[in-house]
Amino acid sequence: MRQYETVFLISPNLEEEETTKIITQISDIISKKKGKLIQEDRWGKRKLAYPIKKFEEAFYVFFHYEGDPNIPFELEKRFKQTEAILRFLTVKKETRENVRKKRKGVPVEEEVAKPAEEQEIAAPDEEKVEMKEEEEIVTPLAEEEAVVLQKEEVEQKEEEKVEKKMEEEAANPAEEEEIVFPKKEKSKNKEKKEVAASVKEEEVVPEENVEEATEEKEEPEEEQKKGEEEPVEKKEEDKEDLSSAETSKEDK
Amino acid sequence: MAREQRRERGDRSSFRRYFPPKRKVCRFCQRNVREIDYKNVDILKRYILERGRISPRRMTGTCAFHQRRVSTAIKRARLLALLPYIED
Repeated sequence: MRQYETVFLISPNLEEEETTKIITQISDIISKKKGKLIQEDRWGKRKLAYPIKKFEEAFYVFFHYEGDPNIPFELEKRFKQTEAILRFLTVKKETRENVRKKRKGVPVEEEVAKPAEEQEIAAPDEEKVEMKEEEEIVTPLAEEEAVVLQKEEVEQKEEEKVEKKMEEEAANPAEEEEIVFPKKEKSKNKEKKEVAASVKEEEVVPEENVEEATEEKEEPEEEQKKGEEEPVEKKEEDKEDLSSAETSKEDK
Repeated sequence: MAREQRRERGDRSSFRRYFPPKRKVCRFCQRNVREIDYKNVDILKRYILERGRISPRRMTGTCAFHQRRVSTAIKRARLLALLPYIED
């Protein structure tokens, strides 16, 4: 036995009696073929998204039923014969749960759908409940451990990275732009603009650059949260060395 | 599209900063939806563009599994004139 859902649109110019007649005829067909009507839904007249046979409205009826596959065939015949029906659609409803399982290797569908119900009805034993509980307890622990381990690893790596960066930057602070990737793209675009800016600001004392640069490197995360002003200043200051070199090239 | 978003985001705080594009997540996966019905038009309307086309995955961020369901649902809804084929 399969579940089907049939929708059909009845033309709006019919009177109420006629529409009810058509609907009862169709429900009769289902009952004659030993189908079981699960749900009947009438939306009433509804505006169409586009005109069908020059009608702007239509009467929507939904049948949700269970039965042999020859029922939709029979309905289709009937729909084609009657002119008052503008459109129809039958869809197979899938009864079994088709939830997507994230874990691979677990045999799914039929095990989940049918035996679970039978077990519950037949024997609601305590053993099975206990089993489930144990499984539930065991798996999250393992996951938590794994997560913790991963976190630790990540932290270690991050620390190492930070140390490396510190060393590199201490060696040559001017090259910071090349190491930090997010600034790369924009710096290329803005070099031209900042050339002009930096030429004006060349009077700034170079000692400040070094101090501020070192401070900002120690706290890379806070940089992002801070406002717009600091990174802008920093970039301009960092690029003074480079940009001055570029200006000299351009002059030549 | 991605470029436009990035530009907007840049404008909000400052035009100098680079922001990595925000990772989109499938909305159906978040709510653990398994079937997408062709009858609830309100949800499906979010997944069509203004001209009536089905919006691509790269814009909405739906996963492949749910995109398939969305597209079939939209096509069924179109047949029943719940959604337009073309909107002008």
